[in-house]
Order: sequence, then C-alpha cells, then structure tokens
Amino acid sequence: MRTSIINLPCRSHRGCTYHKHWNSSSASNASPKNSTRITTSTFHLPRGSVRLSLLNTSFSNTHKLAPIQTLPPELLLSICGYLSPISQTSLALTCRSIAFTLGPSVCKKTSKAGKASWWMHSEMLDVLQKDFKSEEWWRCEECLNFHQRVKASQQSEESLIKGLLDRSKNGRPRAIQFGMPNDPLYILDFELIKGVMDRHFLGPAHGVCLNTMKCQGSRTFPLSKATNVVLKYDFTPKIVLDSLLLQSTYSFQLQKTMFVRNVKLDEISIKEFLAKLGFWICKHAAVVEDLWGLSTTSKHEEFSKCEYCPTEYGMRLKAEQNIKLQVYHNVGAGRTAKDPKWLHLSRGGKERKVYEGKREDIAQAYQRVYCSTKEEFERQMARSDGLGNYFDRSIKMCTYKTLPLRLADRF
Amino acid sequence: MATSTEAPKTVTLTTSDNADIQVEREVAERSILIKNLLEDLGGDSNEAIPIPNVNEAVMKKVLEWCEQHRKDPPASQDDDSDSRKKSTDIDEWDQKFMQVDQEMLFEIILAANYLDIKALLDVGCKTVANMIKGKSPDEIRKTFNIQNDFTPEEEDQIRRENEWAEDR
Repeated sequence: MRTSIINLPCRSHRGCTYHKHWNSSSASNASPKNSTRITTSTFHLPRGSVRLSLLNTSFSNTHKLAPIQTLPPELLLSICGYLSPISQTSLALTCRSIAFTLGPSVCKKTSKAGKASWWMHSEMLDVLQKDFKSEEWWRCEECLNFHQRVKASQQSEESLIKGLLDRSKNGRPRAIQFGMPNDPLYILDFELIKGVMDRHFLGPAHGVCLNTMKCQGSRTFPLSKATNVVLKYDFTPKIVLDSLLLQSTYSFQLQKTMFVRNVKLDEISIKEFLAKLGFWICKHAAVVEDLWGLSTTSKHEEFSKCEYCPTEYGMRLKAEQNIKLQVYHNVGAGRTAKDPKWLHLSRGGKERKVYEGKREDIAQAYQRVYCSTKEEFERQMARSDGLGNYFDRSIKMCTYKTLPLRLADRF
Repeated sequence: MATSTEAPKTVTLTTSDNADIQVEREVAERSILIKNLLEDLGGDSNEAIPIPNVNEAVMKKVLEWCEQHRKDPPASQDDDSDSRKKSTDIDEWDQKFMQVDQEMLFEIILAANYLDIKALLDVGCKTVANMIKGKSPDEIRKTFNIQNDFTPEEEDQIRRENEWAEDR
C-alpha cells in the first residue's frame, strides 16, 4: 500500500464560499496570496500500525487522573442529567474512561448515523468545529461532514503500478490551472479527479466528496484610481453518465470606487483589461481579442469549442461593464491518467493534439441530463416509450422529459 | 422533650483525619445519613459520630452549607424527576458557596453523595454541568485538566462512525 496526496483545487480558501477557514489564528498567518498547500501534515500513520489501544494503559499510568475522571459512574450520570445531548457527547469525547461510563449510545444521540436529526448533527459539528484546525479540515454542508483539505488516498498495488507507468511516459504529473497563469484560481490535478470518480464508482468508503471540487469566490483587481474590476467565479462539478463535467462561470464587473464628476479620467474598458490579464479558461484558450466576435453578435448562449480539448465556452457581454464567461469541461471518467479526455485537457503548448470528439455537447449534457450513471439512464430509457417519455401512473403525469437520447448517444 | 428555651442540642462528628467538629443537631440532620444514625443510636447519646469518608476541610464546608439551609423544607420524593432535573439554575448564595477550586468541588459532591444530602448534591452536579455546557471536547479537557487518552486512530474511528468527519 502506498499513499498519494489529493489536494483541494481551490486556490483561495479564505475567500471561497465552500472552503472557508474558521480559526481566527490561522487567518493572521495567512499568506497574502492565499496559497493553500498545507505542509504541516499531522499524523500519517500507516494502516498497519493501529495499536490495540484497549490494552495500552501507558497513558493512565503517566498522568494523574483529573478529579472528574474519578467520580463514581452514578454521579457522572447525574451530572449528565443536566446536560443537553450535545454537551453529553462532548463530555464523552474527552477521554476513554468517561466515554466508557456514558456508553457508546451517547454519541448516537447527536449523530445522523444514530437517530439524531440533521440539525442536531449540524449543531454537533458547530461544537466540534472549535477543535478542528481549519487548515486541515473543511466543512461540507451538503455531506454534513468535515473533509480533509489534503487527503492521502490509499492505492492498491495495481493502480500504483499503473500510476508509475503513466508517470514514466509523461514525465511529471500534470495539472490544469484556470485563471491567471502566475496566480491561478483553481488547479485541477488528476489525483483529485480520480478521487472524486473513485467515490462515484466504488462507493463512500473510497475517494473524496464531489463537493470538494466546488468553489466560489471573488477577486478584485485595481484598474485605475477610480475603478476596480471584480471577478466572481464559480466552479460546479457534476457527474453525467459516468463522466465528470465541470462548469465554471466567471463574471467580470467594473466597479467604481469613487464618485467622480467633471474630471477627465483615462478609462480602460473591461475588454482591454481582460486582453491584458491573460485569463486562461483551459490550457489552450485564453481570453483574448479574437473571442470577442462571439460576445457582440450572439444574444443567446452559444458555445464554441476548444480545438484541442473537451471544453466549451460561451461569453456574454451583459452591459459594457459586465462580461460573463461560461465554460464547460468534460473531464472524463477519471479511471486512468491516460484517459484521452484528460490527456487532451492537460496537454498544453507543443504537446497539444487536435481533439476529435467534437460532436458531444458538453454544455447541453450538463444542463439537461440528470442521470449520473449510464446504468440509470438505460434503466429509465427502458421504462420509457423509446423517446424518453414515461407515463407515471402514480402521479398521472408524463415524466422523464430529461432523457435527451441523441445528446447522450454522443457522449 | 427539648423545649425552645433550652440550649440547642449538639452532636460531635469525627472526620477522617480525626478532627472533632461540634455542630447543632438540626444542622447535622440535613444529612440523611447522620439523621438515620442518630435515630438508630437513640435519644441522648453523646458519642462522637465517625464520618470516615470525609476530611475536616470538606466537612466544615458541607456544614457551612447545612447551616445556611437548615430551615429548608425537606425535599419531597415527588419532585425528583421533572422540574428539578431540567433547570441548572443555582441560587445566588449557593453559587458563591461553590466558588471553590475543582478538587474541593468534587470532594463536596462526593461528600454530599456519601452523607446523603440531596439538595447539596444537586447544586454540585449543576455547578459541574454549567462548567461543561456549550464546550467542545477540547475545551472540556482544558477546564477539568483531563488527559486525552484516545489514540488518533480511535478518534478518527469515532468521528467516522458518527459521520462527523471523514477518515483520512
């Protein structure tokens, strides 16, 4: 067994809606660039070394027991009579002897694994959050769970050999950076994609949560003395028919920072700003002048495709001061690092090759297909009339209008 | 029978460290243990009562509480479960009384339990409960100076089983 490291893709944890920090202490030593690679790894004990801790009594010998630990069980229980379930759980989590007295059922009262309601579980997380270092954990509101920011994933021998083979051919492991090349917003590497898809294919014990890839935040660029450009970005992953799709939305907005009258200012337009910024939406396409043709002519969302990778992008000029970019990537199934989709995505510069799968509509699939696995799609298809319609007797309505067959076929 | 003009009856308690404490019988009888003992010994015995589980300092503290609460009506058996259990409000005098170091606090609780002084035991438990309320496990450890003897693996396992945090 060997471990590989899965990093959060988000590069601005302090600003990201999903990966916020909560420790005030950590905020003070935050590096100005919001860089987030955490190097203080805690205990990375290998699996095999788990001690038989019930036999291990060295702790109790070295430390004098606190008075509360010497209370007879009935007194501890009568103290608990005054405590809420959450406080009882906190007390039980302090040490082994108290946990033993209160019994294993006490934790179940505040956990959704037991009988607790989701809000009780959530309140328990609030309490536990005080002890969790936000450099190491992030709280996933959808899972009602803490995830690790940097996770070591176990690899089987087989996939390890595969990984070594992949590496030997490609040289170094690749990552895709989105945004400015020297200060990216988001970094996608293959370990992360594999982790996310491991969970999809193998179940909750494996990999990482899909929401790990979710990011949302904003950046401000000072443009002139009186104007800022505010960039709002949002990354949302979705698994469609066993492929991982990533939707990213960038919105650039001019923002006046002061009220100016009767003074002539050198105003730079947002287009000029973007052209200078060098903003990369995939490894092959940066926001440059030649993309502007799109924005002015089309009122609807029309997507153009990247020539070298499964990426679609659309751009809209809402007003003179607001530009919205919508980008869809098809990252593929993430089973091996030699997945053609991933190779196309991650090969930039001279290594790039023309992408063949041009007929797939990534944006459409993202928006219209609601089946995460092919199996489910086929099951629903089998129940339908062949065109994706199904009359549900129990609700007396036609359902499954979301089975766009041709769209799925192209996938 | 004793009348009100007579000097109040006293009893002598011998604590674990062999100190004799003279105390009014009415005060001592806040302790159900002592009350029962006195009744068993019969009327006017002047024998010292040994209290082998409580030392002098703690006994004095407990008697100070009994002195203050000597006129309290005896707790009835009915209000045992409901109203008493829920509230952790403590009256002002008791709060001040309980402002002692932790060792003493737990000694008082143990003594109240041994001497069977229900009201004092309740006050003690409430005081401890108030110290725990709203705190995270780590904060509780710091408050009571508890050594965390879970191994990291065990902590992980508990968090995983309860779906609070994912295993690494």
